[in-house]
Amino acid sequence: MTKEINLTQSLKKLEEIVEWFESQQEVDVEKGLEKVKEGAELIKASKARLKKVENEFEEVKKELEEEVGE
Amino acid sequence: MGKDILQKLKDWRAKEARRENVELFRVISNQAVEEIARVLPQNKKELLEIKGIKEKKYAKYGEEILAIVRGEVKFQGSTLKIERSNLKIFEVGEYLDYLNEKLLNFEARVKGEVSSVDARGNYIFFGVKDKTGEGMINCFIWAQDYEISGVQLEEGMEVVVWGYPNVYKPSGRLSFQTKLIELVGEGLLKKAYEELKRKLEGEGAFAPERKRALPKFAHKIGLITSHQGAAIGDFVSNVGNYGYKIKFFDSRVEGKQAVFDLVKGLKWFNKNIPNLDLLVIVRGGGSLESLAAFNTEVFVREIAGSKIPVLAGIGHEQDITLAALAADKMVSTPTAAALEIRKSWDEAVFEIERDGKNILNIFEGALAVQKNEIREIEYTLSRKLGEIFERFRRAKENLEKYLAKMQFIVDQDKKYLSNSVNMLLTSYRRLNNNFTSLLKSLAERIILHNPERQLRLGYSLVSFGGKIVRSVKDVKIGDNVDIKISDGGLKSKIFKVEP
Repeated sequence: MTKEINLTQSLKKLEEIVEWFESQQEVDVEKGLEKVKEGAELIKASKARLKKVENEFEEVKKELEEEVGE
Repeated sequence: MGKDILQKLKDWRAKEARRENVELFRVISNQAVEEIARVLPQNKKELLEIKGIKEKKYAKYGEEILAIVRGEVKFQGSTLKIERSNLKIFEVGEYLDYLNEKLLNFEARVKGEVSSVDARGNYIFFGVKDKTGEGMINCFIWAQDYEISGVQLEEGMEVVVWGYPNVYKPSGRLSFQTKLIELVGEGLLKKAYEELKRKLEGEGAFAPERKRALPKFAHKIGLITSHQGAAIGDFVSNVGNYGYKIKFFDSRVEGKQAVFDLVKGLKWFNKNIPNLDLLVIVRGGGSLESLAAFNTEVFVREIAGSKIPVLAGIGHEQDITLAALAADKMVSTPTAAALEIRKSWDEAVFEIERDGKNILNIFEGALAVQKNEIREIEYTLSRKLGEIFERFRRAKENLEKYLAKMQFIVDQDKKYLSNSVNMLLTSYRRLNNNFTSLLKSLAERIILHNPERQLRLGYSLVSFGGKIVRSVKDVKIGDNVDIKISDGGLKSKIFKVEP
């Protein structure tokens, strides 16, 4: 993972942008462009995060780590 | 060499732990084992320098450890030697140690009826005997394991004890080191299940309000299940590749014995990786007996008390396991658990696509509106501009028209004027002619009326004081009047007036 992004927050922000667009009677193009840019960044980062990435699978070494905190 | 010793030390520790019925690290810490294998202490002093080995540990294990390091294995591997030579003479305690070591291999599950129970605080003695027949065995169980077993021992109760035989050195008595007590028969299991369920329910262990929502986008996941079996495969192959970090804790899941591993797994994760997003416990379905561990009070409580949210994907043939009921979320198969986790990820893929499209669509719409507006403004502007030009054009046209009109008028006037002059001339000429003839006639008439002509005809003009006398009143007697006649004048004096 190159950069960890908070997917929950990214989605929330995206949703907010969509809502912003939907709530505007008349979209201000300048502002809209800003929002589109922001959205594009979020989408890019989120897609990168959602890209199929092999899972890390590791069996815990109970014996070794059992002592932690004992 | 060191590695060989390390393995030997570990093997020894594992046996020792099992013999004492304690965790591995209770015998000697992992760190200490590795340190010993590295340093290879040759005597007591050197061994005591190892961190984690103090006088107490030395007294208990010192000689054995030193023997292993020196390559003189005390028990392991010595069996054959002893049997073959048959020469060795044991001290009593030494012999019992040897015997107990061998007895570890006689681990078993033994079924019988509880004949006596003697609780002594930290541990419990109890007897188990054949239901019909003479067999009877003395059992020993640590209170902790008794609690894990979750079985309230009563005389006459039919149980299965799981453990191994051991001779208690001070008394020479054989006792069954019990690790776990199980109930026998579906009926009893069902009854115990119902009782425990009622009890935990009463405590609110399954209450919906204490359940936490599973985190969206679980990333760091602790997985507790068996290394073998279909559950792990079902889970891993269905959870999707979203770059999860799965920490897997291998645990038995079959039968009541599994409770140790399960409890350990939960404790382990909560202690060592408490920041996990989610703990997943999966197992395929099974009978009440094979799922016994999942209906064990200790485990259920462990789940209810887990700081890390727990997702249970435990199958069941009859009753839902109490473990699942206590989990924050339960689904009925390992596959369903995997799907539950990947759901938010899959949805996110979809949502991002959708949001992206929405944003672009709306923005493009806004742009189109804007473009349209610009086009309209452009059109209006060009129309207004056109109007201005049109007005100019029209003004010019009008101007030209006026000019032409004026030209026409001027021409007209000119023509009129020239006509007028002609007319005037003609009139004048005519007038002149008229006048001439009038004059002529006038002259003729004047001539006709000339008084002198009258005079010539015999008439005369009498004037007084230069004025023609027209009336008798114009003169009075004595006035001198002039009389004019055609060929001269006469002076006369009035002597009489006759009106």
